[in-house]
Amino acid sequence: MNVNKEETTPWICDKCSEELELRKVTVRYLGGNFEVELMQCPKCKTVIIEEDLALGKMLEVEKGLEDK
Amino acid sequence: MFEKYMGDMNFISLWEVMDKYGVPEGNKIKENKILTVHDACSTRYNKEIQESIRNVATSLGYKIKELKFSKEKTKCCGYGGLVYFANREQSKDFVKDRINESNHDYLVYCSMCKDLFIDEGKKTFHILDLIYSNDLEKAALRKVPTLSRRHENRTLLKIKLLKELWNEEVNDLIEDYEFKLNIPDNVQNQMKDRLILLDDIEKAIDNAEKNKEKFFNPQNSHYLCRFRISNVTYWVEYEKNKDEILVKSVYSHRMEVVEE
Repeated sequence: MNVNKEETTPWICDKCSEELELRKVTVRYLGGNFEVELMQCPKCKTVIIEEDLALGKMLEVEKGLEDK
Repeated sequence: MFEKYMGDMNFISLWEVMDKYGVPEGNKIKENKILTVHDACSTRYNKEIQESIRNVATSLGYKIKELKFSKEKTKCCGYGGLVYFANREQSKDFVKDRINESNHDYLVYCSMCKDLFIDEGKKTFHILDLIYSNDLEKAALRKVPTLSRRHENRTLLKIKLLKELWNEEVNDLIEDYEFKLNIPDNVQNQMKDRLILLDDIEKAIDNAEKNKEKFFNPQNSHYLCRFRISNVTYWVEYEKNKDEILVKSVYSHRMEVVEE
């Protein structure tokens, strides 16, 4: 479910005024933990999931796990 | 359902009671309008309910025309087994298949059947419309309430019942937020398709504004915030104007991001 490494995002963290960085984070679904690279605020650690990702690859993975 | 899971329980459906004791005749029609009955799947094996619906309609002056597949062979309206949520396209196909079986208006006795048929443009009466509606034409095409409106209606009903039947006042069921939302039609459609409630959007924005938990896009001055409610994370993109918040997009995912 990795995002494209070259991907940039126009979004910045509003609380910390920091630009987001691609970092390894853990996502959890149906009892399984997976490590993926997602855009994150380096300071407060908030992760952004943009619409394309949520309704694209992420939904695909969710459905795949649900059908298992 | 009662027969299957609570075999010892004696029960009688409202429709049978109405059939037995009669219904108000204020809505009785003079001409013999023909209606086609679509039986609810949950009554497939309950002949008494099926007959009482037909009897009530006949007593109000309607003539019943049966579909090829009715009673114990009734078809799915497009909601059964929650196919509406699990596979929207399949559900739409079921609805279209069923409503094209007759040119006559339909008579149903399940609110889901009614909502789905009307949503695809079929004139459909609920049996209660025939008995109580002040405007039958309007009732047969009354649009499906949005997911948020259904949610709100249930809350308002709960408040009313608690107050009128149990003398309990509840004040914490409807939140008052400091912001005013403007949700354009395209976003309303997203909410419908993506099963997102107004309540979810309000909670996300409220949290974002109070705790500054949001992202900012300097290119278009939009904000993007997220809020997790039980098993779903809701995302809202919005623009802050002088006296209102304009919602640009909403979406959700079920996967949980562990932010640490």
